[in-house]
Amino acid sequence: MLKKAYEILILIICSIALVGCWDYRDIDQKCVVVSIGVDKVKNMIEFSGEVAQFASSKEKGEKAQVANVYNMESLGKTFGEARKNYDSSNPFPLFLGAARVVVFGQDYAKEGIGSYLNRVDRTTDYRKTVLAVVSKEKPSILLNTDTQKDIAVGFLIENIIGYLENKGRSIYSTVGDLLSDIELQQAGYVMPYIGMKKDNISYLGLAVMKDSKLIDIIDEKNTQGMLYLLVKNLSSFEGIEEIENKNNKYSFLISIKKRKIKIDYEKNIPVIYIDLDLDAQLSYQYYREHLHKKNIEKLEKEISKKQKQKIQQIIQKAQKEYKCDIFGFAEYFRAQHIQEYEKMKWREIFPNSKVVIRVNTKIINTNLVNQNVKEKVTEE
Amino acid sequence: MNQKKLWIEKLQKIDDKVLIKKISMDYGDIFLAYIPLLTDRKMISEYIIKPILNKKSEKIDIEKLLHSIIYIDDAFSDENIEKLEEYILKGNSIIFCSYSKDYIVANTKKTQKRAVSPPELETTLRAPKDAFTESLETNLSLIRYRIKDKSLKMDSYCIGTRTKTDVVMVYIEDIVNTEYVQEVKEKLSKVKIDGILESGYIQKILLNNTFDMFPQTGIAERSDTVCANILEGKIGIFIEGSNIALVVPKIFIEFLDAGEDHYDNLYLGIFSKFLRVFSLFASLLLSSLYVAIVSFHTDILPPQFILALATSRIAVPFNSIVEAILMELIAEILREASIRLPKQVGPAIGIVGAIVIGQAAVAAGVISPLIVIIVSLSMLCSFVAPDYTIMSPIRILKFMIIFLTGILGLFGLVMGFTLIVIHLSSLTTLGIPYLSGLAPLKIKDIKHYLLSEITLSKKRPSFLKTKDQVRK
Repeated sequence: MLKKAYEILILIICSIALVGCWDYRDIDQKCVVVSIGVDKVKNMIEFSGEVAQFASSKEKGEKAQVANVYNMESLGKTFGEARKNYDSSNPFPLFLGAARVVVFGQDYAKEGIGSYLNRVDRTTDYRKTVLAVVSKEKPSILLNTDTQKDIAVGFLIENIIGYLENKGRSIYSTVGDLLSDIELQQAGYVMPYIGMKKDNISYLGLAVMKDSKLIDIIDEKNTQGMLYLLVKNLSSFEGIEEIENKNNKYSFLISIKKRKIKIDYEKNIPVIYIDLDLDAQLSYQYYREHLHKKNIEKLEKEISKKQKQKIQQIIQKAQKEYKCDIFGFAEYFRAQHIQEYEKMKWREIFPNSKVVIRVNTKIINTNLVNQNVKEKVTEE
Repeated sequence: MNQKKLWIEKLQKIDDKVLIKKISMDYGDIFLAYIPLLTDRKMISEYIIKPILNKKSEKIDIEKLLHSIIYIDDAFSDENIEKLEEYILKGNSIIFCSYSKDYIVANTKKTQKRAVSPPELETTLRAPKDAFTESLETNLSLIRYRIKDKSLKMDSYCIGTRTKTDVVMVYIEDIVNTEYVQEVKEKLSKVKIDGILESGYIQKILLNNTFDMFPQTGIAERSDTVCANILEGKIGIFIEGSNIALVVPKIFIEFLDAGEDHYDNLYLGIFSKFLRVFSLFASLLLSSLYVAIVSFHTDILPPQFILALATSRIAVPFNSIVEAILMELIAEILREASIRLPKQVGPAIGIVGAIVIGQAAVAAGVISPLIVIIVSLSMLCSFVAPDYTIMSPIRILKFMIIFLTGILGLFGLVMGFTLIVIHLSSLTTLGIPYLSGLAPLKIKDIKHYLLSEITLSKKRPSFLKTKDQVRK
């Protein structure tokens, strides 16, 4: 018994000495950061952000009150200095574990966000799943916006992008994703681009990043072609396509059934085969009318053609204008041709590579299209 | 004549409450000795004195008295004068006469019995309601009534130099592993104690080590529980004057098994077992987890939870460890008080607990609402186990883990939990590993345990090493 007690005592003393859990601090004794903005102002780094402000639950009786936020701001020549300046006006240490979004100002993004991403990578209490976006406005202004839609601007941005990603209309780029993209070094990447639109914070499109520097912005209208290639969760993708035909207009909800990307390497030129199977669901017609089999086939072809054009346009733009692969083809190439990948530099051969796109659409709700359900789709 | 005097002297020496009644016969005197407090006096006058007086004119010897005159069913003759004391103190009446060496011992015991009543500790929805009483005979008769097997054995021992309490071991001879019977016998025969007042005494005697925290014998209040255990190949131990029987050996997982699991729906049985296991862990770890999360590893939670947690704690002046220990202590005090409280003032404890400590303390900003939820949940969980004895060590160990977590964070929690598991796996009960089924892992036993369905598991649990493996 006594020997056992000694063993336990030694175990406890050793662990107290070695584990170093000296970071004991109750959560209410920390400044919980909800969002962080990074920008450049006259050669100075500007940190801004929202910090959760906890109102005492006493004020509103028994109900726990939803947290409010207050804004912080600090300037410094370097990250360290900006942080130091911030700390000097702060009651508690910063807690970054609850941060939901990092907003990069456009000016700062043009100069490269790589260094800050590395800082996130090395800061232990930062989550690597934090969302990173580029903002049209200065982050300090954007994060200071009064919003009724959510607890804080940080949450609002995160929820908007999360919702859009779920519908296949945007991508949710976490710092972890971006870091692994940077690690690849052969390709660029895209990030959500947000800004104020009629006094509301909204999603504006995608920011194209090359070597971690902002080079262009793709407007939201033109992103669908790109999202066909980038969306992670195929089943949740919801594209909208409206086709005008003679005297009627049809609205389709498009989902991706199958996506296959294959890269062949022939005569020093990579050929990218993109194979897309789409399902289109007719949401509504502007005028109700009987749809015939021929019409359906025509519509299917038209949808396919339009989607193919969209994809083609954006790839061409990437090859000619950006000279940078922002679609993640590099990873397919590496997976399928590891030897060539190691010999070649993908960023050099990508602009010259051939792209073969095949889009196949099927309208799935033909029964609903038909007004007279019992009748089979009739031949005209 | 001398002998008569000797006996009377001897009897009076035993206790001055011994009453010696002389019955004068035509051929000599017959004496009747008993302690009025312990005996049924109506029985003595009706079944002993009356028939003797009817034969007043006949010459009767002890043999005749025993076999043809007195009406007592449980009577025998003896001549050992040394045993006189034991007999009379147990409530027997002694009949002797001036002209014989032998004496008669007639059972005229009178005990205050309470009727068989519903169980109070092991309450269930669906199970027989006959719980044991303080009378050994009643308890044994309840067992005999359920198991009409010829190999049901009842070995009796007298323990306690002063209380002379009867302890009876009940088992089915051709099922039970003889080693266990031997070991229990040995342990019982080695006991040197002046008195046994409750089955808890025997429970402690059967422990391997007096300082072991976890119970190694099961307690049973319902007769069907004991019968089910005896049929499994275990030993039931009954103690005179105790309304709680013991069941040995009992391993850890069996403490979380309730009788109605076997009687009720199969799926419900499995579900409630998982529920109990969860409750056991929750009761042990919930408060510590709170401390670990609030003070060390807030990052574990999703951001919305972090904000909610921080909001709930903003006005609390204590740090999380003090808060957790304080609330757990208050909960334990409430529990302790509710046991001692007379039934009439019982509802008061509910008011004190819910309103004063729960609501008012939160409103005053002394504690956070979350810890109230956690502590009450962990206390609620501790009532889930069918056998409450398994929860007693958990209640104490909970504080140890909170303390360790307060110093070392999640690491401390894991360390405390590991220490408990190491301790548990090193325990044995009658040579059976305490964590049998889990360590050493036996899938079949676990399956049998979870299903608790008599039609699905045709064999008795293998860790019991019974003579007869098959249930038939």
